[in-house]
Amino acid sequence: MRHKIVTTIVEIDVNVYDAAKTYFGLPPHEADKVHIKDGRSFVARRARGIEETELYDYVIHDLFSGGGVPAHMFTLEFWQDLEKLVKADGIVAVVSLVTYFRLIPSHKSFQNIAAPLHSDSTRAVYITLKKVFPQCRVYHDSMQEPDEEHLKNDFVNWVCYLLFSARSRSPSSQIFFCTPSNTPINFRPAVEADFLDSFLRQQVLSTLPTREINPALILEGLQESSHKNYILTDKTNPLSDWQNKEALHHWKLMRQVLPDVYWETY
Amino acid sequence: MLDSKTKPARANSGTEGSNILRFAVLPLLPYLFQNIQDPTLTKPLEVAFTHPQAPLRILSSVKSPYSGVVVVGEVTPPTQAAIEAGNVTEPHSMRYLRAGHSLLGGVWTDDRVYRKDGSGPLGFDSNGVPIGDSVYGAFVTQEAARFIQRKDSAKQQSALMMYSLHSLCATFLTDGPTQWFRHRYRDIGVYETQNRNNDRRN
Repeated sequence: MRHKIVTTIVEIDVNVYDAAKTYFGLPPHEADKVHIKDGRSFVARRARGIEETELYDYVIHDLFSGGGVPAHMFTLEFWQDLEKLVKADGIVAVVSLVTYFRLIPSHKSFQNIAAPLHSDSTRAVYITLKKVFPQCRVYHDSMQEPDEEHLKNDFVNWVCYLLFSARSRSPSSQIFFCTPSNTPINFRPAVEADFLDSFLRQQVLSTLPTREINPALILEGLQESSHKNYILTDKTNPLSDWQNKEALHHWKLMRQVLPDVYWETY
Repeated sequence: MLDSKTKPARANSGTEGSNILRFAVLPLLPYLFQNIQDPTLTKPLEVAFTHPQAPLRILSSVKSPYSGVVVVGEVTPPTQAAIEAGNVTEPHSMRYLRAGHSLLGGVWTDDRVYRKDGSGPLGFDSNGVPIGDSVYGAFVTQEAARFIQRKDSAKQQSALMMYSLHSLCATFLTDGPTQWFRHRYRDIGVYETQNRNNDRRN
């Protein structure tokens, strides 16, 4: 294995799994390593001993689709169950809401124009995660808008430019790296072996430190006494409602990536 | 005063009129079925569909209880005529995965599949077709989880991948050249595009 890690896959839609295997190079997995089912159920049954489980070094939680995330997999109860499946110093990487940045060149910073970092949804995700995982660091994956000279000499940013050309808005994810451990999270620098001969990996992984988000920006202006109001629970979970507006915006953006004929032919 | 012999014939003529209308429509049915029908492709798609006008090919289209439809499509490379005419639009040479109204991601194809060292494509699909880097950089960031310093990082490790599989950074955690998402490679000039057909894995 290229990185010496044994993986277990959970995917609700067998059609997506089949497409991944057939057209996108997903290698074969042992049958007991592929679970076509709802992730919430998978985690809950193992957390409660109904099914056997192993403890994982890493959990990659990336469920964004169609402009939103499944809200029931961002609640306190879900993270409490998931935490039982993770080693004491294991890492949970959570891809949160896609937000839309516009780069303001003069400020060399990102202005989050559609879903501010201090939006209710972002705050709720972060605050709820922190209730279970004491250590979390947050990153985005927007690439800087390249200037003309940069474009001439570095095609690695080509796709970023393409996305930026769509009305200067680039979809970006927030990635929360969290651990049950109380030890602060420290990243080693990326090395050549991490890139696996991929320009994309080289570009994204080598520039990770430049894309960290200070949690203070997420919690800006929020009194600590108000944090409890942002904890997502199975009983109280407005995440879906908050995302409804973003879903339409995401759809509009997707229609800019490819012309209409690609959306009308299926 | 009306009697039974002079009852108005309206009811009978209405029924007859409906029947006439139905029979009149019958010859038109083949035309209607051909031209006014579901414009979507047959599902599951049995043969790849090539669009007659647009640079578009649909490799797979299936119904999904979760997304409505899961589609694998390609934006095909520009023709030589289009290149010479300067009529090249981006993106092209790209394979994408669509679920419902969401473009989940994709990989570069054709001339855009190569490794940094120029030794060949980054990977292959199950049919041996070369595929390249992701069209989105988003999903690679997750791989940085491996960079987090932990005590026993040298031992055999395990990972749980909870995905919509469009975002599976398979190379992060599995064996084989399984990168889902590629990025356009730098113009290498080492691997000639004319040889790309030789890259198909046997």
